[in-house]
Amino acid sequence: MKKIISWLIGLIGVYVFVFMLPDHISRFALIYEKVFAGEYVRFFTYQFTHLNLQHLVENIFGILIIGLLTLELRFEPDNMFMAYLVTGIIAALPLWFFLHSTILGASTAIYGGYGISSAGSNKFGVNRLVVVLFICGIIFLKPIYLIIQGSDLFISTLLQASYHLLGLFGGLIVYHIWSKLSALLSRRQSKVLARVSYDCERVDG
Amino acid sequence: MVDVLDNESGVINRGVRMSSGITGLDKMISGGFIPGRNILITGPSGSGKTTIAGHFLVDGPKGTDECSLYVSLEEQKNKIFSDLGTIGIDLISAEKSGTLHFVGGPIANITNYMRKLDANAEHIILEIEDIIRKKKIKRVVIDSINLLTMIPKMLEEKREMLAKLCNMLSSLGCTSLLLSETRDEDRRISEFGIEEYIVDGVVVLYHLKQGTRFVPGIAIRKLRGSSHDHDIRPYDITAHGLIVYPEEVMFMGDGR
Repeated sequence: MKKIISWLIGLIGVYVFVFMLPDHISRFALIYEKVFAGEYVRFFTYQFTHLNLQHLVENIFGILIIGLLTLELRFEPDNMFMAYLVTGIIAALPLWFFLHSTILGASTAIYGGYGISSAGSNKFGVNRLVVVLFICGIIFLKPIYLIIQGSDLFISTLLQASYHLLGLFGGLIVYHIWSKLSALLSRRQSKVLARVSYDCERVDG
Repeated sequence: MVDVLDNESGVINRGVRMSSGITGLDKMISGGFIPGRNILITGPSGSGKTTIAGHFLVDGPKGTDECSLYVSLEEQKNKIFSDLGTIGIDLISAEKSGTLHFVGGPIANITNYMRKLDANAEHIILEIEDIIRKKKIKRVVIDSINLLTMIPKMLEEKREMLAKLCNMLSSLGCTSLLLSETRDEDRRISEFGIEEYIVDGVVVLYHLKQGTRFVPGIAIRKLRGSSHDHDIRPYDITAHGLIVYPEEVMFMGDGR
């Protein structure tokens, strides 16, 4: 619990700090030309930039949900939040490559977190496909609504939905790779018994 | 040195036996366990399985430089050490001297970590193998295998997992006691009815009703490659540990 809270405070703190910096969008957002010129760190920093206060607050709520999911699904907080950040980077690659647009905000990574949680939910007997389809439904709810309404805004909303969808699938991929890698690396090092022994000795003093 | 009959070739082999640490039990199994074999110790709760394990790990290796490993998949170390200490089995000193290694703890903690680390029974087996190799262990007790056999869902998977465990232990030259709990009223030897087919030997502890009392009895149901006592013999858990009376016979009042 403490670790989850530390991560949340840290991430939200960084979001707010970056938001308060002057010209944070031009300095940290994923701008095609800037990345092309060699500023590859923007694949990471774009996650911490936000368009306006509403955008920031929405994503703070999103990251709090990630924290709750980490707690409920009993993920290791370090693994979860590291995977969350990695998903933000991975999902941004195709977006930058194909769309050439400016990308900012934590929502790609947040949906990546939902993807990781969906993939991990099968540990509790939940059908992960059902969860993924449910989240896809949420992602496309607004664009579908706008299409029905005949609104012009549906294209920009569809674009936004594609960021979120890429984040979701990025999260599923990251979880899958992470699990395989962890299984490979920890196969002889899961140290379940050693950890239990250590905990018992610590408690007994 | 004790003669060992090789059932396949019919040749009598001379070899060293691993003492169980209990004199009366050694007499029932022709001097001790054959090295590198897996023995199932099965019986109801409180019948003395952990006590036999304690003797095996502490008293058995006396006079040798064998290292032992206690793998607990149910209980906390302090509780086990304390309970066995009250009947004269000093695991604390054995651990301090470096001849005994302990790993594991309460079942709830183990299952919690298994979930956290996404580990399964195979990871536990690999971890045990790792410890055996590093510490050059010759005697192993797994207390109990009920957790490992519960995790896989299909019977075939349980059998496979247990076979993996036994093969690993044998291939590393360890003589192992696998403790398994059965219910008092159960006539089965093991929880899932497969364990006794995979191991090399089965020692069964009974609580036999004689009049108004329950009298503890021990029997060797199976011991590959060795002659053994076929009767149920009485035993006692005293302030000096478990004592088996290999010359006495139990009266089976209820026809078991």
